[in-house]
Amino acid sequence: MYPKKDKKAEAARRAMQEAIDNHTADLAPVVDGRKVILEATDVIRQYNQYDEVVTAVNRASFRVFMGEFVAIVGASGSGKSTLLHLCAGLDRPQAGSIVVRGHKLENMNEDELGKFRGSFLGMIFQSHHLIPHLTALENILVPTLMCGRDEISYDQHLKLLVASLDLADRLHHLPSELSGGQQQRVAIARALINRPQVLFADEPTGNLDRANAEDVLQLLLDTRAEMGCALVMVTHDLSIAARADRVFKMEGGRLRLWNNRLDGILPGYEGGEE
Amino acid sequence: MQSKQAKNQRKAKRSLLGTLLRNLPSHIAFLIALAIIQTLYTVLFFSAAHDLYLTRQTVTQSYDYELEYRGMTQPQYVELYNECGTEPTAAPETETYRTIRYEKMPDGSYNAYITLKGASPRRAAAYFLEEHGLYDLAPGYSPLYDYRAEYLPDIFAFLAVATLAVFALSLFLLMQLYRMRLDRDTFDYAIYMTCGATYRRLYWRSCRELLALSLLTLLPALLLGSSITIALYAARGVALHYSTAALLLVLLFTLLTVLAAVRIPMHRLSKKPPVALLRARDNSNHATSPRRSLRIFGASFPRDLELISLWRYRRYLIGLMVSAVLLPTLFTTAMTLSDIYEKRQASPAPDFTVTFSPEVVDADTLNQNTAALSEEILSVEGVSMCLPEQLLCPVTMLGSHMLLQEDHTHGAASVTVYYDRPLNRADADLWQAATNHYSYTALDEAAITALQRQYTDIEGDLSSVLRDDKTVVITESVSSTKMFSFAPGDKILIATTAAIEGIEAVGLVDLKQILMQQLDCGSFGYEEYTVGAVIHDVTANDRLLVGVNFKEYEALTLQPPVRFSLDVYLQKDADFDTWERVGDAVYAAAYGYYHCNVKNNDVFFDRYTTSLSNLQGRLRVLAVSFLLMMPLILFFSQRVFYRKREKEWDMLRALGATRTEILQSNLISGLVTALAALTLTVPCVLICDRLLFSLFNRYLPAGGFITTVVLRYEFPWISLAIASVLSLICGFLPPVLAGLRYRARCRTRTVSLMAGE
Repeated sequence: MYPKKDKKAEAARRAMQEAIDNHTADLAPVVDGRKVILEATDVIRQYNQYDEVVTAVNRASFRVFMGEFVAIVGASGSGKSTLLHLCAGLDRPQAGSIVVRGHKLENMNEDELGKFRGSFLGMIFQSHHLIPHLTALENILVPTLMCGRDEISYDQHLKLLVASLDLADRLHHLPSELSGGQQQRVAIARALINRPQVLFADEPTGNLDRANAEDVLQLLLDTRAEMGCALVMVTHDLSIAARADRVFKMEGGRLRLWNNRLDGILPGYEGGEE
Repeated sequence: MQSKQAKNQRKAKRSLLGTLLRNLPSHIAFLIALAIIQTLYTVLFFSAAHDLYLTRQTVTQSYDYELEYRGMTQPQYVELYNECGTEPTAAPETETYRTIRYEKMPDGSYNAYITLKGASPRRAAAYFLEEHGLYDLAPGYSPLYDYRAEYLPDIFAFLAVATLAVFALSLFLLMQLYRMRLDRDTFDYAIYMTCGATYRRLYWRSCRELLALSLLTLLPALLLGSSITIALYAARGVALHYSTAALLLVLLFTLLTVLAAVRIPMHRLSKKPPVALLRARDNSNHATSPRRSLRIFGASFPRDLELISLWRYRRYLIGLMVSAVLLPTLFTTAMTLSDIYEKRQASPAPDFTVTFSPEVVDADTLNQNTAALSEEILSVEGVSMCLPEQLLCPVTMLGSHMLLQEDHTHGAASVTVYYDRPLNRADADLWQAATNHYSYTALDEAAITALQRQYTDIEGDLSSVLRDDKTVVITESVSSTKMFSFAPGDKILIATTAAIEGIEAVGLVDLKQILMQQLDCGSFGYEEYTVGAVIHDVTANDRLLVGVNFKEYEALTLQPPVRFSLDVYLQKDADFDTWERVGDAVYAAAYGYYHCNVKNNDVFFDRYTTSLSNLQGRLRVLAVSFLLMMPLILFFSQRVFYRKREKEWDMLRALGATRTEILQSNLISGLVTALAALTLTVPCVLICDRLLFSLFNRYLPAGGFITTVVLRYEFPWISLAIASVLSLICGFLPPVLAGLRYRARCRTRTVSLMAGE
């Protein structure tokens, strides 16, 4: 008389609900056949400094698709790093919404946000921020302690990363014993070890010479292609921005689409296509 | 409109003191440290000035002479008067005495009181005695002589040592804090040096800053130090005498401490290249570089990562442990020293010693005289004990030893040799312990009475030794440490030497080695003695005492038991008048005996002035200052250290760590640090305590620096408990508080801000 309970379906439903509650489920919407991995809507971030209010990000809205390379350019102090930090869950907006993999970041508490970052996002800082008393190898492996994702073969993945970043002979050195370029490569490896779905990079080549900068950029692009992750990069280097799928420009806290690769070269950029 | 910040910055440039006041919270550790240091100096110098004043006042009020002749006969008085008169007349500028006052006593004897002149009383007295001294009467030295010849140099020597100790301690405290401060501000100093700052500029700037801070703490420290000193002396019923010189010394030593404390850390910093300092802003200067990475695949966070971090920062932790262990050890040492001092002060010492000349009468008459005089002196009101000279003969002088059963020798391994000798006895296998760490003492009625007055825990009948030649009275302690265990009825075997041959090593000083040599090279006969009574009290002698009657003493030692002296002890609460009255009575009693001299040991004066000075109270103040320094150094150090680790925690949170996990890592840090501190503190405290006890009980008396007194070892339960608890707290709390603080800040600040982007 009563329909038989499908135990498998019930278990799957419960698992799905748990994944949604834990923010591990992939709820990314699909638009025009492409998965929207990151969407920011009317995001506002302000700071109080003594007796004035500084609006770093003023109603910024944009979306990033899976596998896409998005560059954000702008002058110093325009708020691009702040926007990046908001999207990476390192900061909280005063208003607006940021959705990553279909999960609203503003609905997560600090600890949930931390776990979410460690599992699905990667962050490369301009100043590296390596842990000073851990070797290069240990710094790279720190994210694995946070999220304990056993399904990834770290050995294989780690070896590939180390080889591609040319760090094999510096793995057992402390950060203070590495050059700036080597520290940056360690920071990149650390950001990639957990196979993030979105990789945020804040001026990753800002402290590097031309040759190193080119190597690092190529590595990031290759990794993006291989892992299928999205890459959101803040840069003031138009030659790098020119290689992005889309370029946004930040001016006075406001964000606007500046160039779409399909539309042609960047306005004001004289470097030409690659 | 000017912003508030710009206005403040302009104000700060104009005034160093203003800048310090505005940034007071960041200088809290230095303010507390300077307050402690200045308080210690205040207590030290104010109490030293007061002691000098009090002693000088006590002595000069009571004595106007340095030398004295007491109990002169009329011929002696006439001789002295004819020689010297009441003041020098012929060539007075060459004489070393100013006046002599004579006094005729009711018993017909005469006293002469000689006032010396010149800066050196020792030289003046020697000259006077050489030129005018009575050959057949020993002079006495008044407390005024002792004050000028011995007490003043001693007190200045003590003050110098104490000042050096407090200076070293203050320097240690301030230097540690300053080193940590430089560590915290390494980046800033790197920028200063990059912009051209030299060592001199940095040094004087730092000194000015610390001196300005010391001005802020000076008045409160002076008030606190004065209050403590007043309380210390008020406990003895004495009002504090203030001294301007002491105040100036406080200022001077504060200045010296600041100048010295800044010098070494700043000098070391200025020698480093700025680029190395720029790199050290994130604790990387504390990290020990490994040869290989640790495998952290599959490791757990936070436990394993935090343990790795602590291992990598072991250089810093070791430095921290040194302070965590040193200061509680110094605390317990100071408390133990205070207890030892108090016990030594309370231990009775003879105020007068009456000595008979040995050449004049026979042994029996001498013994009769000492017994009779002892009775007479005991009847004087104010006398608590009159003990005849303890006749002692160390058995090492006789080449003998005694055999004991093993039951008697628990804890006596250091003074006992275990030796398997063939004995012609049925129970030979019981007698395997030998010792020569004892002295024979001759006992008669008077000596037994003296023992009964001195000791309270006596088992058996002391008088049994008088009835039976083969009965002994025995003690159980060596240098205030109980080493043997006897009961009345026990047997001991005393060796009577038959022959010793083949001795090769000569000049041995270790008693055990001497005994081993005897046992190897000698053949002995043994006589059995029975223990008639046991003195269980802890005794101060550096050997066991085996008491036998006079006849047996002479048989064993081949020396007739003759007493030449008596020690006279006043009652504990005797005042100055009592001391004078008893002194006069003792002199009067001794006057009736032929060739009998009385020596004033000046114990009363020393005890009186020392009891007023409350040195044990001051030692306790020093001990408390160690306790205060410990959290100051440990908390400040770890605060600086963990503040720099906040960026690391920000990064870990950026990579997925939760706030709770960060706090857990701090808990792990705290537990490891606390356990390490406790594990090191307890044995250090116990070892130092034991060493101090041995120093005062064995080594200093052996070197003749101090007299032996009964000093039972007491386990420092309370001090150890306080030191242990403080070690645990100072090890555990700082990382945990840092973690709680970080966790609280996480509520209001996001990762990116804390990451400094």
